[in-house]
Amino acid sequence: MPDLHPSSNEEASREGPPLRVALVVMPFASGDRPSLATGLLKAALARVGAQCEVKYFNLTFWKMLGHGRYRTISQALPNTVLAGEWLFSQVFWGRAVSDWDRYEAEILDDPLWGMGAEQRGIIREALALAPSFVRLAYESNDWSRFDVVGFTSTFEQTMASLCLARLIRADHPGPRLAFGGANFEAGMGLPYLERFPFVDYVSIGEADHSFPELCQRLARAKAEGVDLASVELPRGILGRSDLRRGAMPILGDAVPSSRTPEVVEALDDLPTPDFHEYFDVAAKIGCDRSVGEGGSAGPWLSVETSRGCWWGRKNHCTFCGLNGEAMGFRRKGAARVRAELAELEDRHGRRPIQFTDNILAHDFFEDLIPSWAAEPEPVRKFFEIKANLRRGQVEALAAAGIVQVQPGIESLDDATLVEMRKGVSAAQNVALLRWAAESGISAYWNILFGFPREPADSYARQIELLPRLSHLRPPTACALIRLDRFSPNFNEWREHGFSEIEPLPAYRHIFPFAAGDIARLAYFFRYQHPQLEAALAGGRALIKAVKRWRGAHAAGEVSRLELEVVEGEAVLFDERPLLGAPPRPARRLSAVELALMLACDRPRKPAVALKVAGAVAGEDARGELVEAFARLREEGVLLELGGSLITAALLPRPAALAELKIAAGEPSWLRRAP
Amino acid sequence: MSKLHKYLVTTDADTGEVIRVEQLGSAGDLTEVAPETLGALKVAAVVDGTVREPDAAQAEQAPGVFISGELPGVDEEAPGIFVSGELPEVDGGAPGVFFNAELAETRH
Repeated sequence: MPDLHPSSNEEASREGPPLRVALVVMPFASGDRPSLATGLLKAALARVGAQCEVKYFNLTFWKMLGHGRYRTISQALPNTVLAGEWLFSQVFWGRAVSDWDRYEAEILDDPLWGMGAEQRGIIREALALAPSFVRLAYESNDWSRFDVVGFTSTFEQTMASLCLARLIRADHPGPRLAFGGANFEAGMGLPYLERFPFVDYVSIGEADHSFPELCQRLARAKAEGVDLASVELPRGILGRSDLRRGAMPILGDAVPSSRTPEVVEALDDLPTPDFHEYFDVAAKIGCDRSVGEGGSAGPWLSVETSRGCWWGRKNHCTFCGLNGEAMGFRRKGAARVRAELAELEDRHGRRPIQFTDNILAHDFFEDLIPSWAAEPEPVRKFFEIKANLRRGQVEALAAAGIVQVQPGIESLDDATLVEMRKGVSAAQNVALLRWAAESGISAYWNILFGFPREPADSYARQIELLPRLSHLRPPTACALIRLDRFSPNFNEWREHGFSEIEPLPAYRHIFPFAAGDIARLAYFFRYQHPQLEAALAGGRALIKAVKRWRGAHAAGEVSRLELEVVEGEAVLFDERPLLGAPPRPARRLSAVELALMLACDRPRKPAVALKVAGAVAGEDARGELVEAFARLREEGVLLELGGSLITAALLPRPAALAELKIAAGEPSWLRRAP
Repeated sequence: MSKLHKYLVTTDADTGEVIRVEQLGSAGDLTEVAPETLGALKVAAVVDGTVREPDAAQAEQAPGVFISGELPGVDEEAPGIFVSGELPEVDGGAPGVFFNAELAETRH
């Protein structure tokens, strides 16, 4: 087992009293799990002898607002309206920048980037509580006892953090105020230094090394009686001195290389995150009991086994900006992951685990996943995966307790997938969704549309396909693509056919800055392209089809397409109301039909599928084969997507298939496949 | 030596009746306490951004104490930053109520 604490306290500063650090987690960080960023930094600070407390004020607001409402804003509202930022910007700026009426009319009602009316009341309820919450967070501590107060901001935490930071600085000039997280990555961090004079430091990338280094330098300065503002900053941390140097990149420019952050390569050297405060507060305010309501289950542990994206490294999906400037794939060793999980289980008990990785490392199928599968009762886990898995790998995930996945499925049309550079086909996506359903895995997926070079007929193809898949889990969302900073669509917008790039309009309601400055700090952008109107028309029809599917699924409407072995015979059950036809009576499949369906368990070219099944039919029954093929396709049991065939019906587990009665002359593989 | 305790008081927006009293911890935790606790407290309220000293009448009417007005701490000289005269949506209808209270007899 690797030593998870190779340097605990060995590097501690012995030159004076320990530096006292508070790390603050503001709304709207998820209340269902601890912050990995602050957990890692707290543990890293312990290694250098600093005293650190993590303040989970997101849980305070969770308690004030109620779990359901908090979770809606945190996780369910479209981030194009930036509701979590807007309501705290109201606390910060007052009504001069925006007010409810203007926000509703210009942002929430926006036909492209807005949201429906049914959940707007929740934003108003949160808005009413926000000022009291900010005061409460401020009053909870004597901030003068800290040397550094750090704020983490990913997704929508920035304005809430700025509200509290401003209050702290007003009464306590001593503590240095630091900001970090994805919202400050690369050049996005600088405008905050420029515009908010109480912001002392901004971390513009991975801070595992730079923030503890900063704290060590501050501790030495404190011990020596040196002005903390004069401390030279490590790479990756920008401060007010960088403004004086005039190092202010504009949109598209990079931070000078001498100031860019170090990318952490050796993840095994990072400490096990310290989540004590999260679980303490969660227990005190009851969210450890409540988060199980409403479909979520938790609280979860937040754990990372890797950073970056191995797929994006060689073929960056055009719409994805998730990895910022740290795309290179780095992973922990399997032994280290197991040791870390054991340590976390010792501290916090057995809990479901949300892995924060952007993509599962494929070689974990060789070591880590089998070891989890060997446990008597593997703990429930969530992972983001790539959809190009094989059936055996999906079954291995389920056996290892990975029963919730985000497989990166964003379209069911090959032409659109090519535009996205997803590196998977529509048939592979369908196979993954079906295998997940057969294995008891919940696969969360989406449909994106609106790419400039997306063929117009991709919408019609998907609209025709969706009802045939209505026995599977529907997409979580169907939406027009955004332009996200760091994505190829953003970085190479001309090459990808976009024009008129500008920040989403919600930013204007949050920051009273000139357009150029907002563009420097924004992450989400809107655009134009010649096909946009056509894409929107197609998209509206697609959204309607997805809503029908989601509505039927939510209402518990029975939709079934499944092959079962009944008394030794293969029987097909087909009841898919969204197809608009009455349920077909269950029917016994011929050996030829069964062979075709099993052959197309995974994507197969038609010629290959027919050749495989032809071995069952024999030369004399060529007509039967052709007839069966046509029938299964016409029924939507066998789908032809982009030149590949894939079976849509759920297939029996191998144990059930083994009970099939095989007639004389029929191949025995019918009982083993898939 | 007395210790300052701070509470979140949630009231019915229409009637002003106390629904819940919660003691605030330094981790941001909120621990519910009996509303009667307030009767033993000297109450100071944050009103218009300043802490007002308690008086007997106010102590008895603790549920009616609201935070309102602007938050202190805005740097008026900061480029691009300006101060609004009032907080949005925070008036008599605000369900979240906060005040400081000192338990004079509590020793730690």
